[in-house]
Amino acid sequence: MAPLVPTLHVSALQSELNTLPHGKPRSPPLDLSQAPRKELVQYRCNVRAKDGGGPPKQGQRAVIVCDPVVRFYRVCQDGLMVETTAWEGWKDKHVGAELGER
Amino acid sequence: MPPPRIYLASIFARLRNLRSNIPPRLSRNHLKSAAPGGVERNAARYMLTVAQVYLGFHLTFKYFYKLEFTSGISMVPTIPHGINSSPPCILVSMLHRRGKGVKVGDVVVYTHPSNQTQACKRVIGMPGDYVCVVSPNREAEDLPTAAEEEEEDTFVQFKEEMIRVPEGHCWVAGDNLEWSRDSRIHGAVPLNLIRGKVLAVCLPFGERKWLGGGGLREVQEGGHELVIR
Repeated sequence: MAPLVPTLHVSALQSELNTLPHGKPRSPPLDLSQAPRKELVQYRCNVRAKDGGGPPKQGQRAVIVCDPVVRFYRVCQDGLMVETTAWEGWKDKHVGAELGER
Repeated sequence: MPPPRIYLASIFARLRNLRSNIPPRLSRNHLKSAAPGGVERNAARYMLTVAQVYLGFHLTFKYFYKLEFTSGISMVPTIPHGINSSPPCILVSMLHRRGKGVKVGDVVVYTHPSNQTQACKRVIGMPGDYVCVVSPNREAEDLPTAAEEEEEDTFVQFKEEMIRVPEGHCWVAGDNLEWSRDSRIHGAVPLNLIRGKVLAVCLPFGERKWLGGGGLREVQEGGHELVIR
């Protein structure tokens, strides 16, 4: 069975990335916002009525409609991939709030 | 009394004698010199051919490439579900078994860590990478009703939490996030359970495509289109 893994909040991601396994700070430090961004498109598919709208009723023709779900990645040095889908939104909110305070 | 001396030459001479008494081995040269069209010759050749063909197929399918049929809705729309049609067929490269050369974005075939069945999902994170925590998939009893359609649902929501993929494991997710049982349920998959990487969808012929390049690409400006099947 797979090992249990702890979760960390996105606000702690940057500091977690810049701490090496033995506790020392990474040198030079990684800056996620400077790393090149890539995307991976996945979907959420559900059955819908062909004429549009919600789930099909009895006798209606149905199609499978797949809404795209985009995952963002930052490619760091040494090929480390960090999924930043939640981090990007959190950063925009956080930086926006900081700028607002100023 | 000293033990009798045994000379090496006498041992070789005895072995040579022994060898000359053994009938010649069943080799091709020997078969050629036998009576042409003999029953033994045909049977031996036939068995040799069968063994060669078997070994060839075994090596190809086990260590190189294999065509496999799939079923299920977890990889729609990348791999069709095949519910009302013939089951989709995929080309799997066994050269990537045990996670060799697998990258984030590749589609892999692996043995399910809990129930030992075969599964096919997309790799979201390799050892040491960070992945987002996503709320789980729907189950059959969670089918949306018309009233619930309007509400904001709780399935497939990206939470503000991250996971570091453990060493020697990878994180997988089906392309149909709402209807896929993947690492959100069974956790990280040991790389050792990966049987191969999916290179292409071969059947149905109308939906044939290459998947070998992986799903990761440069960020596109503008929205992504709905896929309707």
